[in-house]
Amino acid sequence: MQLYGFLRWARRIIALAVFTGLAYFFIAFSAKATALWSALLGLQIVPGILGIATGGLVTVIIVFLLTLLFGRVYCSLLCPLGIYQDIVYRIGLFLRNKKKRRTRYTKPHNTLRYSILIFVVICVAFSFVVPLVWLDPYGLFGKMATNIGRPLAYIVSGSKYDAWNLAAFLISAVILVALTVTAFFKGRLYCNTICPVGTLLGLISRYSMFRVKIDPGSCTHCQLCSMNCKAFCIDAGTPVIDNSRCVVCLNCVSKCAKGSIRYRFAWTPKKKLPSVPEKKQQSAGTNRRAFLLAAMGTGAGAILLNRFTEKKIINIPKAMPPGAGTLERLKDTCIACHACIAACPAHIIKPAMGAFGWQGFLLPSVSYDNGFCGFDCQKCQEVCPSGALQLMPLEEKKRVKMGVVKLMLENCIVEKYGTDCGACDEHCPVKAVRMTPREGSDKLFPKTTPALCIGCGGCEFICPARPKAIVVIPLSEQRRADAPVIDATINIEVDGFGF
Amino acid sequence: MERRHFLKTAVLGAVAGTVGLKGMKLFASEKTAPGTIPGKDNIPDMVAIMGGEPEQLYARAIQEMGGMSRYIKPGMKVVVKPNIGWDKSPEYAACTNPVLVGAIVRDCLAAGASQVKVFDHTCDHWRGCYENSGIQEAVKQAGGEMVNAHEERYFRDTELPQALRMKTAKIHEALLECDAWINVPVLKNHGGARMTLCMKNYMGIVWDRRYMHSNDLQQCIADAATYEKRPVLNIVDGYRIMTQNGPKGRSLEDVQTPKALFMSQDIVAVDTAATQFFNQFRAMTLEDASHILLAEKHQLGTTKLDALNIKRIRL
Repeated sequence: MQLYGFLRWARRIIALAVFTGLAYFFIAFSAKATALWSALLGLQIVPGILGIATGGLVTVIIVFLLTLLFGRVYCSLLCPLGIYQDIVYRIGLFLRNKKKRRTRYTKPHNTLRYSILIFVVICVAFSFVVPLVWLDPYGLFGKMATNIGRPLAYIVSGSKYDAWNLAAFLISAVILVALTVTAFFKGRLYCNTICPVGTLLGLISRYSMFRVKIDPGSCTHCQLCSMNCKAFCIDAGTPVIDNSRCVVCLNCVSKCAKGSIRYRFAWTPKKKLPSVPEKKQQSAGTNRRAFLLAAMGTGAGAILLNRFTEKKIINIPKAMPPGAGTLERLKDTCIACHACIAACPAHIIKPAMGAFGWQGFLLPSVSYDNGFCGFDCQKCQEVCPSGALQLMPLEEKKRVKMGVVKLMLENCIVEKYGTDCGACDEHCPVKAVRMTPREGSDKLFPKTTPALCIGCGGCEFICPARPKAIVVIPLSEQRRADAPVIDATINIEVDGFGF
Repeated sequence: MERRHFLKTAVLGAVAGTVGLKGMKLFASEKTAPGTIPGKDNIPDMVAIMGGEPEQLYARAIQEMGGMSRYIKPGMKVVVKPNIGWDKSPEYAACTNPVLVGAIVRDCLAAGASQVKVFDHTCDHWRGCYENSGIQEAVKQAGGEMVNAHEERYFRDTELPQALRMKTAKIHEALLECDAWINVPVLKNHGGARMTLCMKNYMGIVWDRRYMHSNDLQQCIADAATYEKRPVLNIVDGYRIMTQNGPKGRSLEDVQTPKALFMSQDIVAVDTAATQFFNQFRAMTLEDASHILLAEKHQLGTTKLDALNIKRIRL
């Protein structure tokens, strides 16, 4: 019993650490701790799966192995949304009248959860990631923390929050309210009905090495375990535990007065519980039908969707953050967790509205209204857990061309008023725009070399002319800018002061 | 203006041997500088010095100028305003040398300043600028305080009655509230203003850069310099200078290391001197950097260096 107490406390401490850590980073990002942040994000399974080619494989193996050994501990320890629901449910238990508590076993919504899982799997297989934008628990957590928590934190600190987006805030707020209400009354209902990660891991946790099990011999069907189960997966009458829904919180184990419910090694080739196969067969039948239906429906749907939106978008109204590669690639790998939005010190990354088409809704887009991309900064790449913003050596990032400069000289201050300006040249890190003398004038005029431009937006941001004289045209396919031509080293020795 | 009168009175008082409280202070600290007796005749209008490390250059120059206690009195709230405009490390010469800034802050505190605040309204993202320029660290170690200047709420509307184009500007609160400030730019060329020196450094105390750029930049720079609270000292960091691709610079090829420093109370004179010094590396006239001439018209100082008592020192 002491062991279980210890395990429960360990779970609580780890879960709280992970949750507060992630919440802190998303809400009050401190630029110094990027390494720690990306380590925490690196354990998230869905970004791991999407970025399986770019370092996600380790995460996937770790999480699957953990589940195979210990059950759905991922859902209890590492999933920020799951931990959030646990906290809400806990508060709910505290507030509710204890006497009104009763058996909390519910049947699994198998048709629904397997349909969703299959739908998502097929969509992802067809490179259609949009469902995950709306269903991945980590991505939802990120969206809520970034679009609700962050603006609030900025209001409290009295600063201006430039990446504020009303639509993203409202969407996140609706999701947050819905999740909070279901978690308050129904515990882990989302995790065991909608969440594709929960369902997927549930398939493995049925057969995990350690499982929570009831010994039917000593069980008195007192319902204590069931009353304390936040996954509503203990049928104390039978008695049997649905391990596909159990998140191994171990609350039931420490509540059982008879000690008949235990978390134990379950790979012993012992006799099976008599009642289980019956039930299984029944649910398997529904499952199979659901599977086939869902598979055919969504498969056709996903293919059709891809067909319809296959036409390549060349002109995009907003740029993608550096390292996105192509718009197709971004759509294939990004679940809009908004970690990049939270990480960007310049606040230039914002949730896309219509800029990338409906499939790209809420994906990270760059706007230069109140800042520009720091030449020596790659925070967005450092934190991106799915590799959608591919991390690369800084020298490479300095050559990533997000867009290309366009000069409209007729709007330029120097051209219009004949007074000095040079703000664009001042901000350009690669000298793709340079103040150049012109014959017959003592002024310097901007001149661009688009091949050098990386589209950081410094010029567009600072240009004081209205309408702007210099802008960045976003590229839907990021390229490599030409290497800056470095002038020869000349060391000038000076003897006097010159006056 | 009051401060000038005040300083002049203090200096004259010292010359006459009046034993006033301020005079006492002056004498007391001067004792540490051997061989110099403070007095109007011994204090040059400008010190130009080259051939040493930033701290050496500064120490010698301030000694020649009569010591920091001549400019900073005990209890004063002081602002030191370096150029921290860019997210670049010190060797790129995009920002003022952190060693120099640290030395000035330390000296102000030694002279009895109650607080020393340092800020700049940066061009690149402020945090990168403050950190990578090395200035934040240097200031903290010297006992000064870095203050934020990246949001409009830190700036307050201020009248510039002498100005021609920019009649009002939002100026940083730390500067508005201080008793004395020291202007410490780094010597660089500039694609827009041609040179960025003491007066161009005023753009970092003003919130709205775009207004200045779009309303005759050169005149606006001169206008900004008419702000009534003049710096008690202008110190141009010429240890590393940027001769091309300024003011941000691109690579180390843009940087020369003449190891120089210019110090004066006359902002026009010190900018003139620095421009002429720069002219030896790359052609540059006062007509190009015309805000210097415009500032002379505002009677902020003189470009006629011949008329000044300039102390030229080679270490």
